[in-house]
Amino acid sequence: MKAAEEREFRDYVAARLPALRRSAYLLCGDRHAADDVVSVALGKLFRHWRRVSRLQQPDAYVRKMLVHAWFDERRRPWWRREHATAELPEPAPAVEPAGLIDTTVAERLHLLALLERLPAKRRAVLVLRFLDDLGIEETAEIVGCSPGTVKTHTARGLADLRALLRADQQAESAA
Amino acid sequence: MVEQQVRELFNRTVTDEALGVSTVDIDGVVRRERRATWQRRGAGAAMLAVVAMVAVLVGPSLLAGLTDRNELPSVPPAPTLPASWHDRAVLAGVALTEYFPGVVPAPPDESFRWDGRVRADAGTWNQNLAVWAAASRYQGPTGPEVNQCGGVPDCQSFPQADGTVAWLLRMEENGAVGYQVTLVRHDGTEVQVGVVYLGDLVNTPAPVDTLLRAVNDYRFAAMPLGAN
Repeated sequence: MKAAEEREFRDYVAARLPALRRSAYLLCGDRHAADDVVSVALGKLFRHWRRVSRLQQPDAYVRKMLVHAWFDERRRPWWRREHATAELPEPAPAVEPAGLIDTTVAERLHLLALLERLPAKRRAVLVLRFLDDLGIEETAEIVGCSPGTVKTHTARGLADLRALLRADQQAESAA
Repeated sequence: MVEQQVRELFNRTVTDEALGVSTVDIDGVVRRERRATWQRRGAGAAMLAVVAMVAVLVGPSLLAGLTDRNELPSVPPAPTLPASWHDRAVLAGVALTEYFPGVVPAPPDESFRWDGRVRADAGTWNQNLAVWAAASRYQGPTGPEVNQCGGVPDCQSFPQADGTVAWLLRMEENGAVGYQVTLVRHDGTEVQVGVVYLGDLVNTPAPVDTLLRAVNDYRFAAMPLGAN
């Protein structure tokens, strides 16, 4: 890759990195895993940058790389994945900083837990449609399915979220 | 839950605070991909070099083979065997252990010289069975039609498709029955490997095909005996 092309690549990544990290975060449910998936996708992007940069909509291609990098990561056998351990690598602060656990954090954790319970493609469809604001056709192209399937995933994903939310609320009120 | 609510929920969830400082290392990604590119190119270059080398080595002989299709395959010219008796003794010992894995050749007996050959002997796991090998330079004819047995009884010829020759001879000597396989290798070395049945096995019928199976079992594969 020539120096000019590499500069172009770096500029593009700098501009798009926050959006890619946001999508990856909702897909992975963990910011470190999200950054790993983004790194993998950027590696692929660097490899194919000459071709991708000539596309009219490189964003769609890059999102496709990201989603498929996440699919690949989920398909990896369990012994090749990174695992959470009972002991933290660094000691936790002795006192929780005031205001860290607030309603926003609780809501976020709750949403991530709900998304975690959805099938991978359904989750990807919801993220692409409602976080990235992509249309049905574009989402279908990225996920690798038909527009009809995207519509089905969207409807069922929303229904799943509703049902899971209702079940959690009922469990809370019962407790 | 309507779509707009989901949008708002998603946007509230992916805040800068939730994402934290990025750990995506762009320089690292670029470095890693550059290294991988060079490795791929290196592997490709190595593969090309191997292909080119094989083409240089094999190409001429392949072309010669295409132009001389009607000629019979020939045995490469026999190199001169190691001149000294001791060198040939090593060759016989190697042949013996190659064809009969596990046997321990006895030191070659210098007094046992005949016909320019060096003979190596070894006992086997079976006291009624002895094996030996001899090495010399082959000076006879070669070719797929060559039958070294002629009219000799108890001899079976196994001309090889590649022009080399092999034959098996049954012998009776001093109350023992022996079978001797002679193989001419591509390097022009004539290697004789013999099995001698002693004692109770003397009267045991040992059809040729039985011995051939045994011989093949003992990895005569250096020059496998084909069907007659």
